[in-house]
Amino acid sequence: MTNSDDNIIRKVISGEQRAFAELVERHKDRGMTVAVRMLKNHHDAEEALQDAFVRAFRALPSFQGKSSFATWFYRIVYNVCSTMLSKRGSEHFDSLDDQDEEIMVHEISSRDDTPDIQLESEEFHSLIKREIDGMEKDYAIMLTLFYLNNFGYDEIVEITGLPLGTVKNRLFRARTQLRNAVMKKIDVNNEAA
Amino acid sequence: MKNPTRQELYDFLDGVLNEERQKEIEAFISQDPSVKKEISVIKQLQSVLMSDAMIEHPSARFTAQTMKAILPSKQESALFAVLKNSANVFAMAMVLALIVITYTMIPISTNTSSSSIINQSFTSYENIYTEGMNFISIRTKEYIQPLKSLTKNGSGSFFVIGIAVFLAFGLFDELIGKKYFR
Repeated sequence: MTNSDDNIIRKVISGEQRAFAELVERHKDRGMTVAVRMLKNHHDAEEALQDAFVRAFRALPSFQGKSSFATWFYRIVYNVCSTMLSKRGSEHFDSLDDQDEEIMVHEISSRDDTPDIQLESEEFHSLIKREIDGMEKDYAIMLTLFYLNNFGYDEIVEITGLPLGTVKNRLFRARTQLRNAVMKKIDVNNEAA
Repeated sequence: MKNPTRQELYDFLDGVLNEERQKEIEAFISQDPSVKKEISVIKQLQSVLMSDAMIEHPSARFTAQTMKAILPSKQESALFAVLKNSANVFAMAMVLALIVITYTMIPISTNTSSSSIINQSFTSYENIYTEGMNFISIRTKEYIQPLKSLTKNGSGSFFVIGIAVFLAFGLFDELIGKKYFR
């Protein structure tokens, strides 16, 4: 039987501090993905992630379990990365969130000549990864939290501290941007064929 | 029936629409091949986004380094810090050598009682030094005698003294050194 996050936390708080390594093992990859999406730099992301784990360890006694450990921890990761970005003087694109966009399906898929596509190929995997890497971090982070970390809207609101409307808007834009990039690539492939 | 927006298509796939709208969109998708294709693209995109191919990995030693940052190794004792320095070891060896020389080389007065030496009158300044050293030597031997008797031959007493010095230093380190010298 595997230990749940809560069991490990209980162990750590009761003095078995080395048990925290299991939490690190469990969350390091997805935490790293969040940090890389935000900071766009592997080295900085690893540094931020380590900082987040250290902060989480120190704050563990104050963790009340109102939300899951994952939500609580990724909020720390998000805050550490945001602080790092503000030190860097990173640009923000919040103004884009104010634009309202309602695209009807008939406008976006007026063509029915699009061939059946298969995105499972390695080519598309790397295309999608490249597209996310190049995406503005406010959008890339939404895709990562929503799909890879499997968080719902409410949890993303808790992690980022953003209003629900902003979260939905950014996620929508991120999905649309990615979808358009993929469709463009398909068009290029079709023309070449 | 109102045409769905793309946001509604995402909501449809996320299963967050109300039942009525969910059914409407389902019907819409089945009637329109282009929307069906759109849904297929989005579904495949979602599948890739959820796959392990999207995961980033920290370096192999990440967990060990993080735990080291969280739980720093116990501070080394002051004694170990002293022994790590070759100059300190040399100084300690010199002190020990001095003790050995004092114990073995200085001639002992014929009268082995220290109290009798105190009562002696010094005839000249020249023998003050010699007599003084004799006094120290005799005193030292008086203190060492009980330790010496612990072993069959005298050499064992140095071992005992060594242990005593070591323990005293360790005690000092534990009680005072850690608090005031680091």
